[in-house]
Amino acid sequence: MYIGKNIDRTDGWDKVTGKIKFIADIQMPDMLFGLTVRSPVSKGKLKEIKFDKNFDFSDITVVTAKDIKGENYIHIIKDDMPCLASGQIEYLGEPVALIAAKNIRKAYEALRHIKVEVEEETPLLGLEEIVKTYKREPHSLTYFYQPQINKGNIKEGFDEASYIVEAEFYTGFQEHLYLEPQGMMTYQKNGKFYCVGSLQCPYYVRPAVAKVTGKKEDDIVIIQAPTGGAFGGKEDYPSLLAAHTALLCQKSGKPVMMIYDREEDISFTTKRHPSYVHHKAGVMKDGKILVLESTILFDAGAYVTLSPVVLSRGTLHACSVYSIPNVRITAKAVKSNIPPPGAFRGFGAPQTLFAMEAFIDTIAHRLKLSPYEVRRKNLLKTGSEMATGQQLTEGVAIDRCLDRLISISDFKKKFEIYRKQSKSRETEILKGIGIATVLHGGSFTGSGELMLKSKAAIQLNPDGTLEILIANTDMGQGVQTIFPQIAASKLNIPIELVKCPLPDTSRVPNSGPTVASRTTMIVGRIITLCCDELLNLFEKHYKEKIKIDNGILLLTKSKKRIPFRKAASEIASKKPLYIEKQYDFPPEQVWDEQNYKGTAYPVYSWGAIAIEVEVNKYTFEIRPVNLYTVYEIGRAINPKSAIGQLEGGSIQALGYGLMEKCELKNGKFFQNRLQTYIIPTSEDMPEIKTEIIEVPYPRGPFGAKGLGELPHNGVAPALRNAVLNALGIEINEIPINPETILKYMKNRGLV
Amino acid sequence: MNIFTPSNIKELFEIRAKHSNAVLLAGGTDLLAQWHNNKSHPQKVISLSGIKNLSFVKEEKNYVEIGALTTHSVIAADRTIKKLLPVLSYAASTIGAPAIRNMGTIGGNIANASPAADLPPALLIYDASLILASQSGNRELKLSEFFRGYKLTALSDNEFIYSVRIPLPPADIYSEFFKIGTRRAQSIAKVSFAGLIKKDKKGIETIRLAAGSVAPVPIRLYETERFLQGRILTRSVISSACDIMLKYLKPISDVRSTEEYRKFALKNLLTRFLNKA
Repeated sequence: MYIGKNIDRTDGWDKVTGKIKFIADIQMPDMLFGLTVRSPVSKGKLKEIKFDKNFDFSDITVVTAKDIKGENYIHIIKDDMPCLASGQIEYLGEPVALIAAKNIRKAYEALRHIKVEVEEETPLLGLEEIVKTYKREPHSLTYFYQPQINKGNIKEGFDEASYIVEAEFYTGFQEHLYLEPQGMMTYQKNGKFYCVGSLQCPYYVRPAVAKVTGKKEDDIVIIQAPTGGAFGGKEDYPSLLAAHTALLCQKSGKPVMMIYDREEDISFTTKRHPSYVHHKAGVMKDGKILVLESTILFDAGAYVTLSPVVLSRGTLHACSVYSIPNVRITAKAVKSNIPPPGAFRGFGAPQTLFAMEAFIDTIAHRLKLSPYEVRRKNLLKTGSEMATGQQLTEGVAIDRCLDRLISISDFKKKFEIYRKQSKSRETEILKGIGIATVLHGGSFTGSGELMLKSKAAIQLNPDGTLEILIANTDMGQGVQTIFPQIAASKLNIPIELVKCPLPDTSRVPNSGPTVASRTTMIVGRIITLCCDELLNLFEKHYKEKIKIDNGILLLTKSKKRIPFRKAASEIASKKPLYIEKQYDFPPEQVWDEQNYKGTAYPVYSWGAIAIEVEVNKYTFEIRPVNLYTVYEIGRAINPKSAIGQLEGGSIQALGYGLMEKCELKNGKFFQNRLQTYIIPTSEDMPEIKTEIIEVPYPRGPFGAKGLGELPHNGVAPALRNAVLNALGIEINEIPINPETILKYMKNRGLV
Repeated sequence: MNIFTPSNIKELFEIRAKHSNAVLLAGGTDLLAQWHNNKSHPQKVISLSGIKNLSFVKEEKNYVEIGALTTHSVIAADRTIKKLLPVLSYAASTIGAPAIRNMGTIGGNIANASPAADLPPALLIYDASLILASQSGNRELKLSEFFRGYKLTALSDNEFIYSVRIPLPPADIYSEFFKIGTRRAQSIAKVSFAGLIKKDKKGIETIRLAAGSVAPVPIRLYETERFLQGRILTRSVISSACDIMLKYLKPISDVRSTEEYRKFALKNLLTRFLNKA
């Protein structure tokens, strides 16, 4: 009824008119403003936190590790990251103390009178250093996680192959640059701590705050404030920020707010993991890949945080959309002394997909084959076996995406014209076109959803309104609009009756984090189960079969027609009717975490991307001119919203491939302001043509699969392949900015 | 912060006389960002925006005069400037984005003395001068002599930039401005280049070249100009001109680009310009 309809975003109007209140817009009586005292060096022993004797600290709340009543770590995967460092310092900017004052200015003034003294040790900094050390003495590095994939026999594959192709790929940091920086406020009421903030995963924040404050989880309430973008950047970090505000609140007895300014946010919060991928493939003359041997290194930073799961997804997407009989992948999350990188749209997949999709074109380039043909030769089909041994039994749509893309982009013709044109001396502008074909596994990896046991609920109120109670957050992607569409359609009632409020852990069950392209696909399904149950309860109440038609209950036997509102007031007359269901994990989804065998993801979404660029021969400036994308996402619940996600994600990925540079200089991020960390503006946009293909996923709500992360996977490699087409050189790192091209041209003696 | 808001030049002089350490604020597009980044601001600020008659474009017989508070938007859209000084018009249109161009002024762009400022290379090839006003009267100073070092200018404490005076360029010239930014809008130049050339049968009659973001200040490329003067453009002349240019420039690697790239791009921009001329 509302599925496939472009329902306007319920939060849209308040957001564009500025009416909505973000966390920084909220004030409470007596509220203090908190700041973080940080380590000035990347590694060492904390000697002393010196408070200037000439400064009056009497009205400043100060918290150090000694004040922590609970346990001094942030609970994520491993409990290894201190809330406040007290002995060992592991990265520049690591929090060692917290202060809070009546206002921001006073807090900054106090901060200037605190000195942190650290006995410095030699840090491990930067991906280049990690790769160098790995090649020389791999045992000297510390690994947080080391998954391996083995399939077939790689020796036999290499023996049989006509060619061996080898290449190394590097990807850099990417900053989320959500419009709204990190922000959190904690206050106490009736012995409970209430943390309100900009966040993605309330049920990640709750145990973290409980552990640090020494309180029971029931005494911690997490409330999502309207969130101005997150992209994964508010998956784990808000746990630290909430713990910090809670500690200051616990000590001062007053509400405490912490809002990072942009520089602090870029400098110290999570980013996309930098990656190194080495691929070696055995290939037949026609482009068929017999064997792939790969090494993947992720710079995982100072603490474990989310790196194992990010690397896991990266590893599982490393073969992209190809069926390769013999595979060995060795992946490692390497500890270093930078702020821990974390979740970012795509979660490890954009890194390894960049490497594999670039590698396919490298193979094509070196074997003088068409990138399209090499893809076609190796594409996964229904019935194919992935590197993990997962059999793809249905819904493999990558061939459809690719063929449609080739047709709408006119790839074959343009590719040949541009390849020849690149030899010409006359023109100032060199054109190029590149493609990439990608996938994204929906929901948590492996048995993740089984362990999560997500619960979601609906609540029918006596006035006939229906509330969707989930822990999943709207961070701009449209949860608050999509979920009413799902529930209203499932029940066949007017959408105006359905509301999806922002989560508050005192009201909503734990439906898991808002990550992994899982919300619509997994939690949406649970909501449909709740709706089924509501219909059951109506049938029990009226003791006959019921159909709901456009908000009217049709009692099939007695032929009575009861408006939904009236029925609601009858069934929920005394108190609201609360219906909760748990995710029914498919028993056939079996995953062997030890050996990386089995069903890594229950279903995949597919995408094919082509990008056309113009490279200025004099300046090496790259201008993306046209971007064609074809995505298969099961079912677009709200096509306008889906296209918004797909196009927005494409642009974010374009920035990743083209310009977003974040260099590490002595442990510090060099580009740490909006002026220097460069993301695309509307002027940098190519013309975008996006098409959606729908192959419904039987277990998804109305056939929907995940789509949020998919668009981040293919644009950067397509861009790299377009530059290869234009200039004839293999560039194996991103961002590909003019400086990068110059470096590669110089290395090849071309300038 | 003490903010003074003179409404005419006389009041401005009086305030300057009393508060010589006060900072002059025009559009604020550079200063406000600087204050925000440093988390500190000057004690005394004189806001110039209330002063009337400092925003104007006047066409005189031999020159065009632009008031110091004229915004980049106005300069980019002004018909006189577009017709007579197209390179300046275009350079103004490459600054920031509409919001910045609506606030930022030509006087501020010059006084801020950023090596990456967009207008100075264009003004330098037009041989622009500044009219610097003080209580004791006005003086005219060539823009090329105004920049004294990184973020240093010849402006003295009791002076302010009143206007920019740009002599009309000779007829039959080829001129252009090329900015390589970090992106297509809302960007600061990695390299900018401006050139003006007039050729006759005997060779190059007039040549003026300028560049931004490749030295501590926006810079006129006098040595390269001297070399090219009177010559016929051949491949080897162009190549020598590039060598001379790079001999006198010391671009650095910074947050926006690398020394290597800046040299490469500048060389190519000069080559491209001379090839097109």
